[in-house]
Amino acid sequence: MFLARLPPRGRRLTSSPWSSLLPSCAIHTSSSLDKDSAGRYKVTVNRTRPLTYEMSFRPDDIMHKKGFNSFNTAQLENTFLTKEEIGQDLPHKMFLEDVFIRRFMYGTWPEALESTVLVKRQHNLIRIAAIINPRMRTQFVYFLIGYTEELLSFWLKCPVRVELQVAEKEDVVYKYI
Amino acid sequence: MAWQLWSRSHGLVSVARLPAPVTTARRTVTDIQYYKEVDQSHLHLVEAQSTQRKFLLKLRQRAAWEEQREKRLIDQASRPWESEDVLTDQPSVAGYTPLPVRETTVYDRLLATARESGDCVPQKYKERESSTLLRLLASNIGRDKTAPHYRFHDDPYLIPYNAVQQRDFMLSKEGGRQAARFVRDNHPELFNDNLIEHEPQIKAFMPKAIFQENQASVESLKVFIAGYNVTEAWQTYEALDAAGQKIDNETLQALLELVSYYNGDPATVENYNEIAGLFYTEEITPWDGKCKAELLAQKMEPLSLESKMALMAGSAKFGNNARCWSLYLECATAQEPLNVTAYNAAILSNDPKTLTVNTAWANVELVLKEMRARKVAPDSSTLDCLFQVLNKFPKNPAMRQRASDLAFPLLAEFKQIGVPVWLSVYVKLIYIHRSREDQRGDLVKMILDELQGKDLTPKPNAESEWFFCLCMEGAKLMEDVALAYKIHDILMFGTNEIYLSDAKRSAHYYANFLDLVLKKEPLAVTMEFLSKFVPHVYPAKLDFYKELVGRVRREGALQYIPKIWTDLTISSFCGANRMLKNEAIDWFLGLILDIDTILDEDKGASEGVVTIAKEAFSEISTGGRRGVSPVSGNAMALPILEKILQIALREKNSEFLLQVLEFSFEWSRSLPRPISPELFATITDELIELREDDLLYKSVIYCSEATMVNAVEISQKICSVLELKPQEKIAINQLLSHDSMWVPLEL
Repeated sequence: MFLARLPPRGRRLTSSPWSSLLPSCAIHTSSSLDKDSAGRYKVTVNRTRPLTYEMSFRPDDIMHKKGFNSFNTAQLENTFLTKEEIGQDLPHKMFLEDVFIRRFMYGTWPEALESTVLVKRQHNLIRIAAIINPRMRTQFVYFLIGYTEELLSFWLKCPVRVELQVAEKEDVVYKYI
Repeated sequence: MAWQLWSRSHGLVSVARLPAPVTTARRTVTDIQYYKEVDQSHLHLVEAQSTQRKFLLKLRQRAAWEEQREKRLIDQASRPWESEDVLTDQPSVAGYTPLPVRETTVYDRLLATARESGDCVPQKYKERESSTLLRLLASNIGRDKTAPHYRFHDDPYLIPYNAVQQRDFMLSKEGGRQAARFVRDNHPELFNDNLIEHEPQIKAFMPKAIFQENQASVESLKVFIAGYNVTEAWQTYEALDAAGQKIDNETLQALLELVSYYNGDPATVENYNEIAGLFYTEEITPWDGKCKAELLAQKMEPLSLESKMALMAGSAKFGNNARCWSLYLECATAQEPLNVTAYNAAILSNDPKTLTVNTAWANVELVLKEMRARKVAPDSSTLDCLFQVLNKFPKNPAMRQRASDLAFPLLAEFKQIGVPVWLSVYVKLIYIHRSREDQRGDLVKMILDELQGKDLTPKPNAESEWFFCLCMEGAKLMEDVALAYKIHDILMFGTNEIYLSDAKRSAHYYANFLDLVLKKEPLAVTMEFLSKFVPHVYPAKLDFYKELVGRVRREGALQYIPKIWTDLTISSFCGANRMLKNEAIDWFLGLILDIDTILDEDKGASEGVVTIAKEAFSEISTGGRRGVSPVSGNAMALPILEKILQIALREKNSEFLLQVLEFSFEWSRSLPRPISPELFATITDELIELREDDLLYKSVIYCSEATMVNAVEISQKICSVLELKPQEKIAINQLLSHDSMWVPLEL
């Protein structure tokens, strides 16, 4: 009914004197963009794209062939649905914190991380696990461990532990696609 | 408004974008700005309260419920109980009406039956401390000594294998932490506006309060004092004092106590335990008339009793004995009631090194008598202070005897009144008897008998950490291995191992322990301890390995050679420098050559020895920069190469022999001298057997250029079997023409 009043596709409202102040609004008539693309990687012609074990399985394989990248065991038992009432962290808060932790890790450990960053919450402790390559000197690795733990502790207001394993880049490749 | 107009004109109604009704309560707390709007939508509860508010309401509701329950129970108790199933075995105490317990559960019924039959007696309620559960857990969880300390990462690339690496890694980590703290302290805005909540607020995770002169106030001073920020508190006080602002006496007293305790220095960092023993501790600031506490005290005149006591404790702690004693006399003259800390400070201020022994001890007795007169009970710290004075008696035998005569009755008296004895007291007792070897062993045994089977935690003071080190040092001096095991058992009991949390003391203790075991126990026992402690608990030193290799050589214990070599290489020769490392390789290869019991049939042993020789060769042949000899400036290179050649010859590994020989020829100009003539003659014999023509010709050139004593002999031998080209013959003739023994080769 009101569709008839809408301007033609691709044209801005110019008839009204308020048009410059109004936000543009139009109905998309292009093809849908709801294709699942998260956690999927394109196959190369010569099969040279390396994938880790975690990357090689799609998100719907979580808990079948691979685990989660975030673990939260910090809540009390049977309180998931009553988190807000008892003052616990909300899921969206933790999600954004995890995004922040991952971005911080990728920025602080440039070209060193060879795997996804796992975030595990236990009680009031956050454990961050990752695989790094041995290109950095050991002393520098320890410097960054101390720096990361301390700075993230200040932001997240709880003790943070960085748990690293060292492996060569080739050793973490599960397959090439 | 414009949006509404446009929407209505187009017939669009969006609930989410309409402004919220005035009556709807807004959420007051959410950490993400974006969600503040979303919270008003259908996704969230309308009129929801903040999480904190809800939690507090719930607590309040629960408290009210508990109060009602208690009231109900008391009402029930005040009425006569009509039911028969009541357990009335509670003791009746005057003024206390026991609450009746109804037998309602299966457990209660079982309990009653058990009581009647006498099968089991329910335990009485035990009063427990808040840390009981943690202690219980700690007593059941031991340390895995085969894994690195928790402060390091358990990954082969990140594990430290020697003391140098341990120190480097830990200091690197601490450097990272300090860098993060620098960011926090210099950019607090990055952390202050952080919307992640923490309730209750933990100081360790909050930005450090920074002193700002224009914001100095009494309140900020109180905050700094409460946070033990000595420097900032003092700066604030100075700013307030300069501005002429009045500060209340209570705050001034708190500041005086703070600066007296730390003598104006910053407080210790929180994770000090992790880095204890790795840094050289800075010298303490002396307590003089210009120190912060004294300056503050001048402003606080006339001093209150609390102020005087704070000054006494501080001045005694930081070595200004005269000031402490004068304050004590002032208080004693005025008949002011001091507390036990002040009396302890007064005892400590009597140093027999500055006063005479008689004066010092007379003063101490004076203080003790006054304590008794004023009925101030002494504590463990009093005993510690007394022993500190005794330990400062001159070190001549007569004075040490006097100190000893005074020490034992004191100890007995304090034990009699039930004062727990700190390990630092025993430390001083051992120091008093340190020069008397005859008494020291019995003394240590007596103390250990006292401590056996006791959990000695928590650690009362830093000096107590020396106890186990001193005992083990004594056991090593007396060469009493049974005593060493006894000490070690006490250390391993409960959570007593925290006494070795300091890296320096831990190294001291285990060095003495392993030295003693190596000296007195069979080699197998030593190797067992070595596997247990090295490298994670104690990174052994090169001297220890030298002793160990000496013993292996004496006992011909071949089976331990691979293990020792692996330990040495994995620890980069205990982090030694190039010279010491080469020395270690040299004496280790000497050990292999000395043990000539390697049987021809034992192929495994032979391969093991060759592997060690190859690794040793790799150690000295790599590491040089491009174009620079790897053996340049290495005085030990040639002895090592000679030993490697001998091993290769003995084990008949020709491939390895040729490899080492080629390396020796290539870098012969960098080596201080040529290979020994006897060894070289043996090598050439082997080369002749192998028919290595190229290397044989090079050998002739090498021995003739090096003018070996047997150069002519070797050359003639080689030339007799080698088919030489005319140019080669000319070259050899030219090189050896100076020697009268040389018969020129026919062209």
